[in-house]
Parts: sequence; C-alpha cells; structure tokens
Amino acid sequence: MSAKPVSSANRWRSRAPDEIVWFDIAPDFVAFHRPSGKTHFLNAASKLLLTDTLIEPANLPSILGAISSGSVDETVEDYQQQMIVMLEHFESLGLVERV
Amino acid sequence: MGSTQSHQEIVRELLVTALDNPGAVASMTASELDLLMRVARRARVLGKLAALLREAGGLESLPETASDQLQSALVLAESRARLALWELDRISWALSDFKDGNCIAMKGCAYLLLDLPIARGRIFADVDLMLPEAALKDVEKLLNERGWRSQELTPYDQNYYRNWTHELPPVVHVEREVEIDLHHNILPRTARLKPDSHKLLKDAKRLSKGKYYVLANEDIVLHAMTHLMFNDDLADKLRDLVDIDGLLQYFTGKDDEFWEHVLTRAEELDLRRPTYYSLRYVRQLLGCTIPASVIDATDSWAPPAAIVWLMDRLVPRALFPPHPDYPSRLTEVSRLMLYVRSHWIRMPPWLLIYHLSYKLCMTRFRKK
Amino acid sequence: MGNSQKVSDLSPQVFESLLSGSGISLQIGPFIARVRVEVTSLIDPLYRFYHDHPLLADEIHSFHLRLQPKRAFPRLYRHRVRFTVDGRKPHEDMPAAQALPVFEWGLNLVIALRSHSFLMLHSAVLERNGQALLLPAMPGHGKTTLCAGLSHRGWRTFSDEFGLIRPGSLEMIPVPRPMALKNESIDIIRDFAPDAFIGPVTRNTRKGTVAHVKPTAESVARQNETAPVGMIVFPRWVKGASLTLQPISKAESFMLLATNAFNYELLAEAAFLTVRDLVNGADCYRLEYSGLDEATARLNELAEANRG
Repeated sequence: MSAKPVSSANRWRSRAPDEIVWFDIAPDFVAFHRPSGKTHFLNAASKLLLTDTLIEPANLPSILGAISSGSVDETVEDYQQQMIVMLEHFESLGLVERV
Repeated sequence: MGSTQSHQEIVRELLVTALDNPGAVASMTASELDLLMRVARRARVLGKLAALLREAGGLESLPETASDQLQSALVLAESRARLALWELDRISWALSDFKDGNCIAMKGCAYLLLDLPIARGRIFADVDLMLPEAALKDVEKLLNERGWRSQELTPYDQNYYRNWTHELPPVVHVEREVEIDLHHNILPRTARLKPDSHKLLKDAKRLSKGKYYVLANEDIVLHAMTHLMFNDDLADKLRDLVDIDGLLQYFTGKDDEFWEHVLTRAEELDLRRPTYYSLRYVRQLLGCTIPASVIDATDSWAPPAAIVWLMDRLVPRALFPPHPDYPSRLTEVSRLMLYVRSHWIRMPPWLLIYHLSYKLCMTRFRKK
Repeated sequence: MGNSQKVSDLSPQVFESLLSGSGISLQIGPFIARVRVEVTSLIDPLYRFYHDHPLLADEIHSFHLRLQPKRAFPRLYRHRVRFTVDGRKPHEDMPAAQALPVFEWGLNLVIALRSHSFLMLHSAVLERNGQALLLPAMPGHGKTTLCAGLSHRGWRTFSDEFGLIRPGSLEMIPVPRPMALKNESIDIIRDFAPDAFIGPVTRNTRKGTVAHVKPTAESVARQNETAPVGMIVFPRWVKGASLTLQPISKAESFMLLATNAFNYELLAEAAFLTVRDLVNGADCYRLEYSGLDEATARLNELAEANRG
C-alpha cells in the first residue's frame, strides 16, 4: 500500500503522542486517537514505541535496539521486517511519521 | 392559498428569528419549538442552531427533548468535521511528494481550516479539493497508491464526469467513508457561465499550517453564491444561503474593501448573475445588510424583470422547508421548476435532453 | 411530566379517534413521540402495547411519526403502508400486513439516527436490586428472548434493543417498548410466561415471523428511574448447548461493547471514556445457553450474589 519503500536511513517520530488516550487493560492497551477519532487495540511494545521510543526521531536500528533491549530470540532480519510492517501500518494510521 | 401562505410564513419567521437571534428561542412556546426543531432539521441548520445556542449559553436550559435533538445534531456535525479534517491530514500525507500544483480546500473544508464561525455546527458530507486540471490524474493516481479507490461507475457516468463536469468521480479510502471530490473548476464545463479557473488558482492563499490552500476571500464567497444559485435546484438549501450571509458578515468585518473586491471579481470571473441573485435573497430573506452602493452596482446584473418576478416567487418556496403538516402543491411546483432551471443553466439543450432521458430510463429500469 | 394521563385512561374509541386524527404524544423513556396512525388494523395492537405509557400534551417532540395506508399504483389493490418521519419516508412503502413491525422498526430507526446525545449500545438492558444488567449481542443471539424471559422473572425491562446512556454518566436510561420476538422464540415465551401479552403474529417479514411482547406495567411506570451498570453479559443462544457462564477479559468486553454500539464512532472520545468506565465498573461474562429456564435462573443467582 505504501508508495514509499522504507530504508534504514528513514527517521521516524511519534505524531502528537499527547493526542492518544490510553486505557490500560493488562497485558494490552486500548488507545483512543483524538485527531482521527479511531480506537486502536495495541500491545505493550506499540505503546512503548508511540509514547517513548519515538518521542525524538529515531532510525530503524535504534528503534530495534530500544524495543528489544538486547533480548531478541528471532533472527534479526525477521524482527526488522516485522518492525517495518508495524511502522508502515502506524504511518498509514497517522500515528507515526517519517521526518 | 391564503392559509398555505401563512403556514409558509410561520416556518420562515421561526427559522429566521432563531438563526438571527438565538436568545429568542428560550421564550418560544412548546409548539413553536416543536415546529422549529422539525423545519431546522429539514433545512439542515439544526446543528448550526445548536452551535449558536451553545455559544449564547441557552442550550442546556431548553426542555430536554429539544436540547437532546440539538445536542445530537452537534455530535453529528462535529463528527463529520473530525472525519473531514482527518481525511485532509491523510490526503496531505499521500500527496507529500506531489509538487505540480497547489491543493485548494473548498467549501466546508475551507471553512473548517479557516476556523470560520459558520463552520460551527455546519454539517457537510464530502471533502472538496480543487487542483489544476492537468494535475488531477496524478493526484488520483497517488491516492490510489495509498489506499483510496475511485468510485466504480457505469461507463455512462464515467464519461459524464470526465467529459462534461468539473470534477472526477469521487474517491474514497478503503477503510474510511469520506468521499473526496477532486475539482478543477467551480462550475461544470458545460455551464453557461465560464469562470476562469486559472484566476481562482492564482489568487489562492496558503494556510499558515499544513500544505493546503484556500481561495481568496472574495472567491470563497463567489463560489458559495455560484454553487447555490447556479449549480443547484435550491430545494431545502436554506443552509447554503445562511452560509453566504455568514461569510459576508465575517469578511466585511475583516476587510474594509471587501465589497469592492467582490464586485470586481464577480465581473472578472463572469459570475455577475449568481452574485446578483445571492445578494438579493440574502437581503430579502435573511435581512443581511448590504451597502446601497453595492445594490446599485449589482442591479445592472439582473435578468429581465419578468424572470426576477418569477424567481422571487420560486426561490423562497424552495429554500425554506415546507410546513411538515401542511405540504403545499405550490412548493412542489416551485421546486420542480427550479430543478429544471438548474439543469438548463448547467448544460446546453442538446446535452440536457440526452442526460435527462438517460437518467429517466435508468430510473425506470432500476425500479423494475 | 407530572400528573400524567396514560393511554389506559382513554377508551378504545377515544384512543382511535385521537391516534388516527391529529395524533397522540407518547412518552417513551427520554423520548416524546408524536404518533399518528391511520392504519385501522394497527390501532388495537398499539392500544394494548402502549397501554401503560404516559400521554402528554403540548410538548416538544423527539419525532413525529405517521403510518398511512397507501394503495400501490399501478399494481392493483395491493395494500401497502407508508411510514413517515416529519413528512419524509425513510424507506419504500411496505405491505399492509406488516404494519406493526414496520411501525416498531421505524421507531427503532429514528431513535438510532437521531439520538446522539446518548451513547447507544446495541444491548438489552434490565434492572434488579437497583443494578442494571447489560445483554449486548448481535441480532440472532437471543438477546430479546432472554430479555423478555427475565422481564417475567423479577427484572424491570429498560429495553430489548437500546442501551441508552448519557456520555459521562454511568446510569442506564430506560426506554420500555414492545419487544420483537422472532420465529421459535415466540412460542418459547408463550410457554415460559403465559401471562405475557403477545400481540398479533406477522409472517414473511424480512426477519421471518415476528410477534411483539408488551413490556410489564412496572417497567413503564418506572421508566424515569435510571440504574448504574452492575453486570455485562454477552449472551449467545446455541441449540442444544449446556449452559456456561464464563468471566471474560476487560479487553474483550471493551471491544465487543464498542464495536456493537450504534454511535461509538460518532461520539468519539466521549464514547471511548464511557465504555472504558462501564467495563471497569462492571463484572463481564459470556453466557452460552439453550434453555431459557436455566439461563434466567443462572442470571438471577448471579444478580443475588452480586447484591452483597
């Protein structure tokens, strides 16, 4: 769907993290995004991404480092691919943007 | 006929009073409020009325069955506004690499982006954008790449849109429901009046935030006037006349030379006639104050007196909703005549006959 | 809305002349409906169904409804009825034999389209011991049957269709109306509650065979009394299933409640916060059942256990 391929040079940022209202239902989260009026069901890693990791723009390697905090079981490439899919999805939802 | 007249007048007076002086709503009787709710809903100004009452602080103190309806209309209007603004945000993302023209937000979207008072409680359906004609195809393609789909139409309708109108078939994102209309002008190609879109595009101004442009102030007003008087059958379109009234009040308050700009521009863009009509009815029906010099200047833009006489009889009957308990034959006839007129002025006669007969056949066919 | 007259205070003749003349103003929960019905076959059923509802005069109405007989032209002599709201018809004329469901569905439709000052959950709602029970479900999951059953086992009915709540509050608002039973559930309720008033049976509607049950007199008499939500139970009727009642997670409850509401998206943040608070404040269960006796008994036990 995305017309723009993701490269590791891309830097990403959380768009208006203050505009998300969180409902903590352990282990997951329900997030209401004010500008779109949409409700999203997100896991803990997604919340960390939106409210912490991407407050300052970050590129793919540093995002992966921050989210995995050194304990990755999957192969690095798999993990990287998953993260790209997630970032692209969040981009189309308007939750993150490329800087 | 005498009694029909008075039902019509009750409706008109209720609506005009409430919109002009929302404070007066508090002292209305239950039966007046009951009728007001019904006709304001039909004229699509219930949300506007609710916004005015909220600002005046009189919404909560109304009886619950009235305040609930008004509140509901506000919820709807605010929801549509949120959807439209978000759609604009997403379009802006999809077009981030597009450089071949300015993307102009029109009508409801422009009012929202400019945060005009008339945007409050105003309900509207579609996102309207205007771009240079040469850029429309690229924009449509970029949107298609990012999850929007062009509406599937019959070959007849495709052809109709692309060759004879001033817009592409609507585009909708697969996960959302907002229709986007991509225009290259404010009137169809076939219309009798031919405003020069280059002039409109050239004078558009960029908003301080984001990538969108809006038309120049006077063009915003002229567009609203043209849309109402020359692109429409006017039935239940009181809301659009109220918009024009609100735009005039707002822009004259901002710019001392606003009227001069409107008059000059109406001539430049070949929009004298819709300007004449709009000013006539905004004054006659809503009591909008217009300087005598402006009225004098636009008098020469009037059609022959017989036409004015006829329009004076038809337009109010179409714009204001009929009394819901006393439907009037005369209102129906007025609306039918204005419907025919709206097609007449949008198409040359040969095309009109072709189009209407096609539509008629299709309606018959689908009913079977 | 004090010292109000009720439909039952009118003789059937007076009711008929008012209803088919200029219309009557009925209070139905937070709504005041102006109703005018010129379809004679419908007058007696409406007289019985709305027997306990208050009649008002000189009001601001939430909606003006009208049902008129129409003869379809040019097709000879097929009787149809036209439903209009404030003079406009939301759908095509319908067969006259379906007048009652057309009226009741029409009322559902206007409520759903015009009542965005409330969050409207798609749910049956009942009350016992001062606490509301929500039964949110998709059509066909037996929500109305369960609701009609419970209303004849000591529960006060708020609605079999609309869970109305003002955003920011946690109080459910009653809107007691006839409940539409479909197909087998008509006989189930006849057996289960022989004293329930069930109206005429309409066959071949788009939802199959339909008959309505009158709400209990107490439900209507106390329609101005709201109640906070104590329990949320997602019911599902499964043929032959033995009864199970399982607690479910807040996350799942949130999702089911939000996606099932009529106007969750429209109300946006206000709806999000209200559903969040509802789910946080209530016990949430999933109920699977086949026997109505068993299910009502189990929910009664649950309500009693919840009391303390």
